[in-house]
Amino acid sequence: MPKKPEVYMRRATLVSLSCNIVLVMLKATALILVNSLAIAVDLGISFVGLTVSVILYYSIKLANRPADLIHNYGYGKIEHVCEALEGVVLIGIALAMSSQAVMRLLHPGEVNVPWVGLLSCTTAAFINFGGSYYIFKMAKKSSSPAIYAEGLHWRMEGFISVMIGFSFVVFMLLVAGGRYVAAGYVDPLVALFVSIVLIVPSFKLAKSAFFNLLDASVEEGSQMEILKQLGKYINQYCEFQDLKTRSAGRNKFVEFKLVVPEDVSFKKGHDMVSLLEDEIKGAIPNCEVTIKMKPCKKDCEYARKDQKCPYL
Amino acid sequence: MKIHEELNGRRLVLFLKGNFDETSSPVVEEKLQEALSRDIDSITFNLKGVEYISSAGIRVLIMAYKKMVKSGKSVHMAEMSGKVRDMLEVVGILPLFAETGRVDTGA
Repeated sequence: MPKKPEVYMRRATLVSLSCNIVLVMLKATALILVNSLAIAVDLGISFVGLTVSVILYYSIKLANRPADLIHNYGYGKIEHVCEALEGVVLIGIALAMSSQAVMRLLHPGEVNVPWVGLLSCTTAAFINFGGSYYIFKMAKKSSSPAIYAEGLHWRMEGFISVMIGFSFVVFMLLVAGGRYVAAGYVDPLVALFVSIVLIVPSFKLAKSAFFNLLDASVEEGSQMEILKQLGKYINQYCEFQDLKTRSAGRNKFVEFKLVVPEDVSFKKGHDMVSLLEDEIKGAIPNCEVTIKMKPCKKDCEYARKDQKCPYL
Repeated sequence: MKIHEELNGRRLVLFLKGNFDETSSPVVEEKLQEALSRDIDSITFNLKGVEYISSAGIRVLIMAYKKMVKSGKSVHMAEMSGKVRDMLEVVGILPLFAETGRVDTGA
């Protein structure tokens, strides 16, 4: 029997939370030993990740609370608040670290025990990629945008760790070749590169979260599903009006007016509306559908020519 | 999106060029409303220049169908690309529209 979405969401946040604790401890130790700016950026990202995981854990509890008198549409939007928060903080880290990297490029510092840095990055990459695989699986099962954003964050962190790990290899090769001056620039250059790479997805994440907070309509796939159902029963209603959709976290809301012939019985009209509501709900997970039945004004060509209504 | 119209007697042909999506669909909808007030028997959407159609575009086509049927008029499609045809088929509205392979407007 399939589990409730909140079960998968809670599993994902618990994995994220515990792995983030390990990552922060690992990277903080590595930073003290290695004195690398690139590891400092990576630690900053993990620290944000840890904070977001804690917020996400409590947000998910809140997001799954049923609608009440104060929040008639539920608490789903808290998931977008988490996404926005994550995006904005990551942009802040990227900007702060880029300025640090530029300073370090002007005055290169020393990187100690690079093999410790390499070991820390390799371990972190394994944790990140493993974690992202699991979180994406849970995101798919729960259809939660916040969990999906968390998966993206983890995958991105994995790539960053790989990149920083690679920079330690380059550093060691340069030192082995006696190119000490060039080796001094590797760490700040990688930190700068990682910060720039970090800005783009973080900006996209924050932008999409803010749009969703502004009652963005449901995504294209769900829109198509609605039209599919309207197309399926096209010969049973006069027309549809004011189709509006919005998403709040993984919850989706669809509403429109269905114009039915004036002479149709209340029961038949109601059955039609109920059928459409059920079909749309069945096609789109976590969807609430409200269809208002509206009688036609008999202003069609059939009424004018006194012909039988084709929708009766 | 660029829309070019040609009138052949009581048959209006709308040539659409560009992506038929949420940006362009209000323009097509406006054209449709304008066309409904004219003394015509049918509208043909020539979709030769349409490479992509989104749900917003499909919604306009369904509305066009419903409004034209209501007014006792007909809607036709002409020169659809494979992608557009596939989308309409997926949504299940392709059979609603009578198809004409090539539009001879007489212009």
